Amino acid sequence: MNDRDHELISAYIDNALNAAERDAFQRRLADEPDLQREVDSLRQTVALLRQLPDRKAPRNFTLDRSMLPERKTLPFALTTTFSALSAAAAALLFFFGAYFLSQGNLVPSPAQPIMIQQQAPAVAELPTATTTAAPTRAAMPAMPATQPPTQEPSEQVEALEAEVDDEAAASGLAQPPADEAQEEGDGMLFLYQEDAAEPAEDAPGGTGAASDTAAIQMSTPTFAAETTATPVDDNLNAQATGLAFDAVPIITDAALPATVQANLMQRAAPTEIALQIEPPAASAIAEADQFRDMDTMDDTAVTEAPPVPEAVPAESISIFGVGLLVLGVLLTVIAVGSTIARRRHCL
Amino acid sequence: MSMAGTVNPQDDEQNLINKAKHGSLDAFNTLVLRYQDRAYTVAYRIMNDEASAADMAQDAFITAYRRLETYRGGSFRAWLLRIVTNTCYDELRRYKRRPATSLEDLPGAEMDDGPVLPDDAPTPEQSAQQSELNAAIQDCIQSLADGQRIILVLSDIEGLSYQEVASTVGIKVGTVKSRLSRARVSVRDCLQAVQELLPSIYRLNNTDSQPAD
Repeated sequence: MNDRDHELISAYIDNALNAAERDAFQRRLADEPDLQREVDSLRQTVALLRQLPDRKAPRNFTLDRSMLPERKTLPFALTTTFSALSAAAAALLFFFGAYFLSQGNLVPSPAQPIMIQQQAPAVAELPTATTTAAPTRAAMPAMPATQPPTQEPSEQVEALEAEVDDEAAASGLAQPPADEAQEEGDGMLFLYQEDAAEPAEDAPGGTGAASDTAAIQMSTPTFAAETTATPVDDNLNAQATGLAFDAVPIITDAALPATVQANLMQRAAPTEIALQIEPPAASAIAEADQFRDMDTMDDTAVTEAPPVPEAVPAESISIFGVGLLVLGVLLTVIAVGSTIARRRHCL
Repeated sequence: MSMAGTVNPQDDEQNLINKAKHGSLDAFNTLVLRYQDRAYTVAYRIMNDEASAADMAQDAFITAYRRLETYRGGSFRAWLLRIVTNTCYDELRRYKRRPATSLEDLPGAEMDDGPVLPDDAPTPEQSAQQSELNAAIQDCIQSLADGQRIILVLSDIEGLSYQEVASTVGIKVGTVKSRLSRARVSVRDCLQAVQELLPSIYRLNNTDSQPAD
């Protein structure tokens, strides 16, 4: 007899074999008297075990309240009520946090298209300081670009990134400033693209874009402050400021996962920023020039934190939302912790 | 139990459980009185010691009351025995004390088996023989490893199905089958040594010719 046989016998005694197994086993029983004896003895063993009477409890095991201290003295922090309240509060915080966060994003966005509409033609018409360096850029978007213009947008984005970077730092965001700046710079980039799309299509010689791109690829990002050290009139400056302000909220709108990815690439290789803007770049460059003019009034625009007071409300709403979400996460942890602790306590 | 009255025991039990869930200690104590012999017996078969079996049964009922919310229908007896088994198992693991001492308690234990015998349990001689037999069986059960003993008790003494045993102990049905078969063979071999105690109808008939494999 091996273990397998004993398992078969055991299951046979319990009627736990299926029909095929039982038939096969019964055929074996007919041929193997040893197996039959084993079955009989084990069947009797089980019968002996089953006839064992229940023993009488030596005393009653009924409970009284004194045996159940834990039920009464369960600390409030371990009660179901506490867990449920924490979870409910967390849910509320998540809801309102998300609400305020979305409000923070949405508030300025209605102004955005209007500003862009106004901006696009104005930029094309206004003679700027940079047009001296690249005279036809604003007027003829598709003209093959020379080295300076290609430097400018990339550098421009850098400058803007720095700008927003400072802004984010100044407003004391909980998030890493670099991320903020990335997102915002990204938003700016998108603004340029959309903004520039129309003029580019209208302009003659649109096929020049290819060579434009080629030129951009060869260019290296350098600090081009000296190329634009020319006065900018107040109107333009104000416009640029307005756009800069508007760009901030756009950013958060445009902060889709894909753009963040693209943005990371841009950060890694600054020249690629220029590549992204390629076909309709001209008008964007014109605009960017204005920004850069504003920023490069001093060479160290990077360290300067431009005052953009209008941005504060939207941001503070977002911060408020983020704060609520963080609190919600904390409360969720507390609720889960309380539940786990209660389980352990009651086991 | 007289308190069940004429009510359908099944409905009555569910009713008591519901009341106990809502904090009625009286309702729960009715259930305790109904199941305490069974709980104590399982504890005794596993622990092989009256005092610790009583402690285990008491602890198990306290645990059962505190965790009554975790009972969600099905066999209340199986649910309760699961708690008893786990309480005993924890205790065994905690102390790992073997029953060398409790063998001396066996004569006393035999006497305790007496009153629970069926009413038609006949003459005192037969009763005494039965007690000796039961003590011998308990002794053989006790010789098993913990893992085999618990499964044998639940399956062959308490009559739980393979599936119920598996979920009670927290192992697979296949493991239940193999452990149970080994436990049965071990008990059979052990009982062959006390052959003379066995009533003729229970005599293990293969031992006369062939001692063991």
